[in-house]
Amino acid sequence: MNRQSLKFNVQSSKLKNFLNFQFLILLFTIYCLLFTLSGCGGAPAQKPSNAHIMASEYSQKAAKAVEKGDNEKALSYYMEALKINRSIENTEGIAVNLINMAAIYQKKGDILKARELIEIALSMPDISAEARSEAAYEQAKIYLKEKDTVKAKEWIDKSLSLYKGPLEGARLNLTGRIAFAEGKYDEALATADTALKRNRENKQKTEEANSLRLVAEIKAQKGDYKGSREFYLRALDIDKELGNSRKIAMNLRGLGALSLNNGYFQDAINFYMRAYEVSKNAGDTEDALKALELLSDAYKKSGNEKKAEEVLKEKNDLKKK
Amino acid sequence: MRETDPRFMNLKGKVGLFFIVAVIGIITTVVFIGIERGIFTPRYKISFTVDKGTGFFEGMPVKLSGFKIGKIDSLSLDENARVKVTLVIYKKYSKWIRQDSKAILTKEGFIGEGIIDVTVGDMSKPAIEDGGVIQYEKARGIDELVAEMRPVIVEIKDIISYINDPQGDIKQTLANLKTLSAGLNTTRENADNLIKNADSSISNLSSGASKTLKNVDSLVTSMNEKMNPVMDKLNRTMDNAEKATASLKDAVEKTAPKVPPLVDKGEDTLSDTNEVIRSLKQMWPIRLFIEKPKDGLIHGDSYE
Repeated sequence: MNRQSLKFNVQSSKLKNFLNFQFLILLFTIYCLLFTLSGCGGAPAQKPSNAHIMASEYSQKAAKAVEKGDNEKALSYYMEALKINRSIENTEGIAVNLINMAAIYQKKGDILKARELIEIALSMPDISAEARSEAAYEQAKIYLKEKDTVKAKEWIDKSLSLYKGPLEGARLNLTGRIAFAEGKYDEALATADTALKRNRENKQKTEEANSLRLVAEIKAQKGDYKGSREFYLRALDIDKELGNSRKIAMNLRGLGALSLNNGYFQDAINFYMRAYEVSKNAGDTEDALKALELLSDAYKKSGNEKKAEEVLKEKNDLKKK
Repeated sequence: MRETDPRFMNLKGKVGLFFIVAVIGIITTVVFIGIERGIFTPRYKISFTVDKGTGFFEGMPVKLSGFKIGKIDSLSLDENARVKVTLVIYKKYSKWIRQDSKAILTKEGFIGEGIIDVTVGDMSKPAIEDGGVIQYEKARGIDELVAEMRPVIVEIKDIISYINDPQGDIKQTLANLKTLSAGLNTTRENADNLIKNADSSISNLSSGASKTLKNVDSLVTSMNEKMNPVMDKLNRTMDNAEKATASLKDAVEKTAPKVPPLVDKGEDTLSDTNEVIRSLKQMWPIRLFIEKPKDGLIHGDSYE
């Protein structure tokens, strides 16, 4: 290779490098421009109105209050959200707020108020299938509380036919509970099994524990002590994981009843005492009283009349408070 | 090796020139920002001492007639554990800061940012020199108004409890008056009886009448004796009550007009803060750490 050609080669490689560099910068600039413009392109995102935002904020605050167990606060927030939704004729928002308020009233035991709100929601023509399904589900729960299993069944079927979604397992749990209340244990067990599967698939932990508890209750009714105990303990594990005191106490009372009915008095006493401790420390007086009543009964059945009397006295003292 | 391509001729020179232009540009920008921020403006320092450093912070703006003329340079504790606040002031404003100027810790608006407000001094007095001391005065805020009203309220409370005290002078006086009127009734009945029996026993009447008169006389005397100090006290009480009401009225009159704008401002500030927080919540990456709120159905538990 002579000197001349070497010089040419060096120059041409420099030029190539320079052009490559320029090309890369050009590409980078185009990329940056496209990246920026992609954000500007297309229709602008629709911003909700102030009223929608405010209603939504109140609903969120209410949902948080429900999680904390502050039903009164939740109701007042939902009421504000409802007012705003009414002021802008947001039908879906109105229905959702009514259903949520009904659920809280039902939790509080005010069945009349709950039914009134549910019926208003159900009478609204332009609401989504999901909202209507939830309203029907709440209606079924009310009928079950009133022990009207026929109507409850009718409404839960309606709910399932309208919308299934991730809460199908919850609907099936209620179907199982209705069958259980009617004394149809085999049907209830089959439904509870299906509900358990759906809840696991949909990762609905609370409802999974509910399915397990329902299976435990059915098995206890059928006299399957071992099976029932196993399912109660599984439900208890999940409820502990979720930190749901009410359900923990419910499982412990279930285990107490199971032990008592099978003659394991000391086990029953231990379970009831645990249930009492949980309810008392969670501030749930109603459940604490229930646990003391059952504990007194367990002592009586075990032959310890003195202790039974003491527990009853403790129950009366708590009631007075 | 010699460069023959014209594009690479004098490359070093071109790069150097480009570099110099960039450096000059950066320096010019820095200088402009400096001028803009008053870094090159001549300044001087003055100070004042306060008992507590609450409400002051370094960099706190110093204003004169609403214009920023400086800031707090430093806060330090002196030998007597008092707080020395040193202000750094732009020299060009020194002409207005005279020996009788005052530094007042106040707020922009009633609940706005804290500032040091410097009052314009008397031009006939000498200006405060570098390192000089300016007088300090604390502005009257809502806390001071409340503190001012507190003794008035306590006074009113005392007066009411004094009036209501069953063992107190007023209640006792009223009880005495009641007894007195009952005594007078008996006296009147006695007098009536005397008149009825006038014809039968004039001598008895005269002695009875004189007795009655004596009784009345002594009653009136004792009433006078008791009533005089009571009336004095009542007068004093009324004076106190009048004074207290006047001070209270004054305090309320001063405070009341400030309350509605204060509430409005508070509401506006809250609304602005909410807006800022809402916007912040929507920003990346903050929004990634915020749990998506539940805004729909709460989904009732099948076991509730």
